[in-house]
Amino acid sequence: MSNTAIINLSSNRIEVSPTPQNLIRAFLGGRGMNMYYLRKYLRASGDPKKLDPFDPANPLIFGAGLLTGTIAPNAARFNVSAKSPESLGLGDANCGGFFAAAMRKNSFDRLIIVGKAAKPSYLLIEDGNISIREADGLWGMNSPQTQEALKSAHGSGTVSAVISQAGENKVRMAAVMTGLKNTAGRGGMGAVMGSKNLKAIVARGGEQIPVADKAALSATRKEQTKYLQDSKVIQVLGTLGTPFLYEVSNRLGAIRTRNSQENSFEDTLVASEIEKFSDKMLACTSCVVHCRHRNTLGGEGPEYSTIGLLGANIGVAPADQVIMLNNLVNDLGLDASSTGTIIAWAMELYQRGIIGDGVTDGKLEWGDYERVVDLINDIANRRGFGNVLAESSQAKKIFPPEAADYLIAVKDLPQSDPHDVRYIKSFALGIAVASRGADHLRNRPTLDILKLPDDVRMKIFGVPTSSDPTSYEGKAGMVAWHDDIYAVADSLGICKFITHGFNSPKLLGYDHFVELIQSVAGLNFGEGELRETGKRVIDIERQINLEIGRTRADDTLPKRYFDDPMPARATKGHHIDREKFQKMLDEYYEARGWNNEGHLSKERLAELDALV
Amino acid sequence: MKILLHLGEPFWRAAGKREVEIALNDGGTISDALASLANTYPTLAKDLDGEEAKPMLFMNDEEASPEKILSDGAKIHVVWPVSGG
Repeated sequence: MSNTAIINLSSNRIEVSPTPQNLIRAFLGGRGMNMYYLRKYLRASGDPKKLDPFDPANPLIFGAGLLTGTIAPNAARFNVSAKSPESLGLGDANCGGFFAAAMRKNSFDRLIIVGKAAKPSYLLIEDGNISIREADGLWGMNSPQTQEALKSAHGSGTVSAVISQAGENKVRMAAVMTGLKNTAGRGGMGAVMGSKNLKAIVARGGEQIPVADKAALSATRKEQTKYLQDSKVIQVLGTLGTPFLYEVSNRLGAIRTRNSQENSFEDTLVASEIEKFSDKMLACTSCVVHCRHRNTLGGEGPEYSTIGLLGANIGVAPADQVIMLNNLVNDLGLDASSTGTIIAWAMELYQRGIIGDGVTDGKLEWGDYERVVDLINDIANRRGFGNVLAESSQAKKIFPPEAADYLIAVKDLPQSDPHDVRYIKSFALGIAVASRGADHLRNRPTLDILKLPDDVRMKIFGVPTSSDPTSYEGKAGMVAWHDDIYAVADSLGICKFITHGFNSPKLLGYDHFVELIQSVAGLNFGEGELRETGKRVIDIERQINLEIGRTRADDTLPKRYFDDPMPARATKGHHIDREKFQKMLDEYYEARGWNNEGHLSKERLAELDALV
Repeated sequence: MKILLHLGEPFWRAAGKREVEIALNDGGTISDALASLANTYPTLAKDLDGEEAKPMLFMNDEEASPEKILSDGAKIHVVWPVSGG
């Protein structure tokens, strides 16, 4: 049995009930089910448009995937969802590690947290029970310190999801952390947690997660693991991690550099330089890839996104400095993607004289590592100019109006990844329509770069698509396909690195997921039915965004991507044509079954509402 | 003629070095150069012509096709096409 707990921190009331089977069937778990509850609670708050993300009524939802914590390959993941204080729209962050497995061992697959504690508190989940505890002495600690303190207090086997100073100070890009580096990063979920005076959620004890057919699951895992480990991409990720991605993007001329004014950077940040500082490779629970570095400078990581956004994007070239910045943002509980994008934004504003020394508290120049270290500390603690940047994209309300022209964000979420999307048109469409904002993990159509043969693409996508990454033709169908399968993976709690479509035409697809769902949950799904689940998740997210006030106008790109051609290398001259983009968007809406304003049909809405 | 292959990740690890000089007949293509590379380093052969992905090729800061005819002194970058992470 799996349970949903509703925890009201204002009244100290905790209600536990079995997770409804009809919702499991409709949304699986993880991201999908979180979205169902997020919509429900936002509507119950009165007006989702007007709800302040720091209002106690904003629900903070931790949801494990349907398979999370079992031995299904890479089934470690959970989602943290709320109305985002960073984008003021749909907020959702996905995270790995060991926390969600620990939560599920206690028979909880979802926590819905509302209200605000009277004083700093944490939740303890132990042996199937939840209690609210006072966080004496924890408030003010960084992420590793908090987790160590909780382990000391509760014993070995304790796993925590915590906020650091950034979350306590409601920094809009504050993350929820577990372990040294596993991050529910996007959208400021750590700030929502801080607004509730909630420092941590601790899980320990419990029992092995029951599954429907242990023998079948064991056999399926063995078979799928062998299949995955035959993949070259999986093998390379297991030894190099995601720093592997930097070199090809840089060679192509698609690394966001100095706030995307440039598009290539030094070779100092390639994987072979990063691995000089790597001690060993680590994994999340049940992972067959083990893609995470333990670095020799006191932390874990960095990922490709961090290398790009706290390296090339702010002009910092030495690998050891980028790794130190990686460790710093993790310790302080900040989203690396937003932090790097917002600092780069500020650096360009300073470069152009739009803001000066009086605003920035002194020089703010590209590549000034020491200044960046100080600034990141100031952001986490809301000091000086750091207090302005702690507002993330919302700082455009503080800066002169022209500052917004230089912000690399969509729907006010700073772009997540280092890839400059002006060249590969499907990538551009992807970040424009992604439900939480400028994010590559909702629908990155990585297969577009592989230039697969026509018949292979047709077999995968089911619609004609151009093999030319710079073409706008057929890319809507490609993005919609990736939308659906990634939504299913997130709802199952499975890592995208082993999901069909993420850097490889092999890896686990709907057919493999069907086998896993059968053996774990005893549920029979057809492949088509499973894809329909993904579509349902995308549609619920669309409806949440519409109810918050998003319109077609929000499905767009940063001004630079339309107006500034890429300056160098193989991508020189490329940018996004506004008219062709709008045509691609029309095609995307059609692929999704929406009207030309991006609205669901009445019939579809009625269908979704009937699930309540 | 002599051409230089600059091997990106993960190809250089099988060769043990980043740059490999290849001797080709006049009129040789990038494809011919990769075939020669695979011949010299057999563990690379599967990676270079794998069902998962074919390498991205760059010459003079532009993407190049395997059929491109080379001239003496050409330098080609060979990298694995990954983009998401």
